[in-house]
Amino acid sequence: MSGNSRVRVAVTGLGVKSPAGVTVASAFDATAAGRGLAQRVDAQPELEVGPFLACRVPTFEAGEYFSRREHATLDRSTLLGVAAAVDAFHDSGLDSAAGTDRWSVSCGTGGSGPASAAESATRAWVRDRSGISVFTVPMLMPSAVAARASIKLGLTGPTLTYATACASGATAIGEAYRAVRAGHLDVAIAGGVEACLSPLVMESFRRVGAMSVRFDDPAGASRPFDVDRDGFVMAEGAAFVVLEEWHHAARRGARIYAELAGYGSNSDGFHIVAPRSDGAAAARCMVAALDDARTPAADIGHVNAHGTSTLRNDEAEASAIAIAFGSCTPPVTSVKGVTGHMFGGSGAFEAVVTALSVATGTVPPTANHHRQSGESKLDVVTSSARCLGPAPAISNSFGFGGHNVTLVFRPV
Amino acid sequence: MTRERILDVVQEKIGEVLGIPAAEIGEYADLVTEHTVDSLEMMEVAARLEKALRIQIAVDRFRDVVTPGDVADYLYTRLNER
Repeated sequence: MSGNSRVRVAVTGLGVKSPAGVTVASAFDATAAGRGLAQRVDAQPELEVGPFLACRVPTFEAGEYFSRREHATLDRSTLLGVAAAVDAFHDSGLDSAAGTDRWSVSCGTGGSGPASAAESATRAWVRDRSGISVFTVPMLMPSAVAARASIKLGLTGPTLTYATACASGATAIGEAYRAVRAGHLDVAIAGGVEACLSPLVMESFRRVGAMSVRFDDPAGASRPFDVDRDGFVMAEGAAFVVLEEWHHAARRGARIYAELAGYGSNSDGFHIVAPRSDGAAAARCMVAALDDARTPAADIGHVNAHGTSTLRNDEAEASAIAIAFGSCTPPVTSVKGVTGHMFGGSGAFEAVVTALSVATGTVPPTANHHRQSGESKLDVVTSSARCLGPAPAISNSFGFGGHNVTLVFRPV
Repeated sequence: MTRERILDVVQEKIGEVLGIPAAEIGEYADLVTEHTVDSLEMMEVAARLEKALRIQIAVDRFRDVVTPGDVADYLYTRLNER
């Protein structure tokens, strides 16, 4: 499949701080178990908001990553993002001291840093101007997570930040992959993060009408591709992968989880929040990624869908998958039934899950999916994890504004 | 307010920012060499002292302080100007 001159990209490290778990193994097990993790967030009468549903990252030992002094200067998205990046780096077995300007860090984020900092700053300003911390600016910078990770790991290559809304994590991974493929980098730590479960942001999404209000059944609220879905469940979380030029990884005897073999990226050019309902652009994105991977659609074992559980995304994505794959449409799953929607973190988390699915042949089920709507006839993986054996797979991510991203993973 | 009491507040606020007990910050400790306080952290200390002591502190005044004792001296002078 690969020509001799073609640079290949190995996935050699994984790290997550997600609602499904704060280690890669526990998070993959929880997605494979297929139980929804959403919980009720009570209303806040003084702010006239809520209730909401949300998936939170369980408590983890932040002291393993940050001194108390450092901790006090970080917002939650930086805390989760840097910790996941450090996990991925350590998992790869790489050593900071060997780093060069050809080792990069990149992070995708929808913008939770600005959202959380702006909210606290606004409140402090109204009540008490002196309550604004001098660390507000480093929290407002969307680039803070990638920057803090590069400082923490002592990496001196490019440090980049991508904002493509809910596709941000996948964009960061895809662009890093391209830089390795083009010969600009040897190692790229890439991922995404979001942590904005604040009243301001949750109320704003509620007003868009995109959030589930299934308060009588929080665990069943996120139900991708199900006929009774009523919106997504907001989540916080982060995930990073280490991408490495193939020979660089092989020379040091690194464990290679999977090959990142293809990347597609385009836009609907249509609406600031709604996807194109015919899925035409998203379908072209998947085809472009398959072309980039030189992998025929018929070889794909499964699709790790964006599958947010909103009415419009799932309908448009089902159409897009049908267009891209036609008669050879593979099984489809969405882990958002378990984890909720981590926005900028979701594409990276799903890249981790897809890489592990490709490596192990195990595809997690779509939690809470019972019956499809309308005309879509996808083979949705439900109830329990399905063992498909090692095969290439794609992971889709789509974002408000019409951003479409597809990553193709191949077993080693 | 006595200089001794001001020094207590200074050590408390530095301790808050550094995440260590105030007792571990000596009056004559060099904040930069012993505690690796950076410029941003020093500004945070100044902001907290402004709030605790209800005083305005000129930003440039804090660029030259070396020890908690220096900070206390400056604040003692300022507070007694009123």
